[in-house]
Amino acid sequence: MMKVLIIEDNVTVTTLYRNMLRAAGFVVEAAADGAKGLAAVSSFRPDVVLLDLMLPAVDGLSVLRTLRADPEWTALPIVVFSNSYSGQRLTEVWEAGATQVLAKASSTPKQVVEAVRATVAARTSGDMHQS
Amino acid sequence: MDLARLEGFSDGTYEGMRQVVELFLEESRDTVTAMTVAVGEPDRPALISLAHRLGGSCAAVGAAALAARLFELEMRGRIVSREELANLMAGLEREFEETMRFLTAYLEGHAR
Repeated sequence: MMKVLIIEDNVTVTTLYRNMLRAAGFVVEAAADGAKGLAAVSSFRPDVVLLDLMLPAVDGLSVLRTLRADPEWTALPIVVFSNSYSGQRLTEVWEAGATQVLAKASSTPKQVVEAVRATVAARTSGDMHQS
Repeated sequence: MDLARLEGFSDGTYEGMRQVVELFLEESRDTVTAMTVAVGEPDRPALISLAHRLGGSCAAVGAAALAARLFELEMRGRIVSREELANLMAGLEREFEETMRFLTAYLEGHAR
């Protein structure tokens, strides 16, 4: 089964999306700050990361940049799921290597699950074409 | 309140919906209490961080009016006077009470 890591400090958002993604057939783990998130990427080895931006310890943008700087995680699908309204911030997120960016306010639960599924499928398809 | 969005998180049963609503209200209640303390001190960085975090929950579950109040606090909380900060917080508390009443009534309506 595909594995999803949620890096998010909001208990409600984490719980709701963990339940949704488990019901959709994913194995899900969660980390409540950026430092724990980076550790969990190494230990859990997810197929996709759902990443919030404003996080304690290490913020989401730093998590994204750290992962993209590591050759092991260059191709890891990372869906940024944010409540940020700053266009500048979102530009930085794309430039840092986000695979997909979703806004919490305008994405329905179903859309988020579908985005995660599509992101993993796209990567799997890309891997098959390369092999 | 965008009930379709809220219902999108449940498994379609009353019990599933009750769990979603109670989770949201419990976190919201705790966060609003912490924000009231932050306004009193005032600890503006803590207030802004709490407003952003709760704003994420509100946006996710479709509590748009409450999310708008939190966004205003997040944007203006660092620059307004203490009096204005207290006014913004009072508005937020009223909106939270209204949201809580609405969701409680919604659950009671579906329990029958």
